[in-house]
Amino acid sequence: MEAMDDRALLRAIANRDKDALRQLYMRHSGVLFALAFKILSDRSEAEDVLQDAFIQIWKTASSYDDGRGKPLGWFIMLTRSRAIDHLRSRKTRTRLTESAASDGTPVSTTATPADQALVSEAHQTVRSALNALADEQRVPIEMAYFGGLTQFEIAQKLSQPLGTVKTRMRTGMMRLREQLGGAAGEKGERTP
Amino acid sequence: MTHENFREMLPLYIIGALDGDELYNFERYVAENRVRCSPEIAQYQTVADDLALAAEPAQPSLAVYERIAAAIEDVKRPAAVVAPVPVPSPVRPSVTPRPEKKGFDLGMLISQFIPWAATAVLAVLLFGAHGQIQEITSKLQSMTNSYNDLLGKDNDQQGSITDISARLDAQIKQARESREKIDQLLTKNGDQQRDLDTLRSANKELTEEKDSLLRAADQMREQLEKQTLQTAALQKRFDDQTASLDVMMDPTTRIAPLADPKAQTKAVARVYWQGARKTGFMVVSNLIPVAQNQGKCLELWAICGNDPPVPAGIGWTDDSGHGMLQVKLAKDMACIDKFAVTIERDGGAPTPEGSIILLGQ
Repeated sequence: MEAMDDRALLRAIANRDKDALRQLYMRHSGVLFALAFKILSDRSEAEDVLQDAFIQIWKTASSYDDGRGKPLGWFIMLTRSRAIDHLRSRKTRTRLTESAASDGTPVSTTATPADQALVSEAHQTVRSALNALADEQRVPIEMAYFGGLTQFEIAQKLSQPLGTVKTRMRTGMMRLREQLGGAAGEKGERTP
Repeated sequence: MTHENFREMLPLYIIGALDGDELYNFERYVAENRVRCSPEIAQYQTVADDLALAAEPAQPSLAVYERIAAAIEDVKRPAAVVAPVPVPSPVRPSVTPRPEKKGFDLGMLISQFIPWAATAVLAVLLFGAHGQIQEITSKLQSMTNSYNDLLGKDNDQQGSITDISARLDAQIKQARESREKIDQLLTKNGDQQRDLDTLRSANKELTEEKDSLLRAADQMREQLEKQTLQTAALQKRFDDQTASLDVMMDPTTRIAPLADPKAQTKAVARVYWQGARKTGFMVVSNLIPVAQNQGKCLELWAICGNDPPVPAGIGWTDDSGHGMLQVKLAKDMACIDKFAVTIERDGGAPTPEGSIILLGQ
């Protein structure tokens, strides 16, 4: 099958095209798995989340609203919300910092070299933008996004006033918005 | 909640940090103002999507896609019961602390039923066990009953939610009306405040102008008082000189020259005396200066025969020893034979105490 962009793949999936789902999986499974693994710090659970997310895509692709957001944004939302549900059901909020690379389990390479290059470049861009933030801004943002914690829980964990935490997260997000040009969106809009 | 509040909360909402009432109010505001909020949410949604890329790149094992491929074999084409697609939206996707309606997911139930039923039928065909058919039929009946119970509960909850929703709508409408009234009052108050500020500004300028005019009036008053004093002094001097001139011009005026009786100084004086009107004056020259307010004065004496001298006026000289004094007899005299001048204590003395420095007749 000729390579298609994400929207075309979703339309094909809506028509029960399994090869389209496979292409979509090869293109984005790395990013989505990395996100789930970052949140859960457990390879097995992260793979379950990834599986659930793609089954959900298969089931509901026909109802995807093209005008309400880019496909990758939807995939990320599906994956993140499922991963955080897993995290909460586990009732452990250990914020893990170990990277996926430190896991010794053999992994498959499903993405094309071009996709991998795009992901790597986007990762570096976002990581640089995050690292450019002050720790007091970056840490609560990561606790919320990757740890699924609310502002109140973050304030408690950091032993800081709620208002201070809110201000720092808001300031940090505004800076990220200025610095990031939509790396995920650009990747999601990739065309052949 | 204002749109400004919405903008403050948006960065926190987009990463799932909002909770409690803030989350509830935010989502309600977005639901009511979707057209206005959506573009701003989309902008921040892009940042949230980018954040996902901060995770270290990693790849799942090959088995994952095999499991997915196996699973989708069992998933039929979506029917009408499939739930709406959760595309990226402002509503926080999965975790919210506020109790939500527990809607019954028919699609989920069916997706769970179908494998069950398929497995059951297959088992029956394979084993043909009548007892198992009854057992499975019983299980299916039990699950159907549970399904009906859940449907009943769902309907009840739906009714409660409708009531609550109607009450909330009424409260929102009331709040909006109150807000409009407050906005009108605030606008009116703002206009009045601006008018008041204008009046205050004008009043301040007028006050400054008034103070300036009062200061100018005070200065003019001081100048007028000075001029009045100068005029009075000039008037007195003019009157004195007019009187002196009258005396000098009168042919009946007696002129008595006075000089140092010891002839040791060049001091001289001249008394102009008009006996009929009992008035006159004396001018002196070349005297030792006797300045005013120095504790001393010149005193003129009138002498008649051997009678004691009668005080006839006091005066002072300038720095060069020149001066003038009015003749004022302390009492009537039968005659005036001589005039004499002494230097006395300030204010004069009733009888001469100092030496005679000028004498004449």
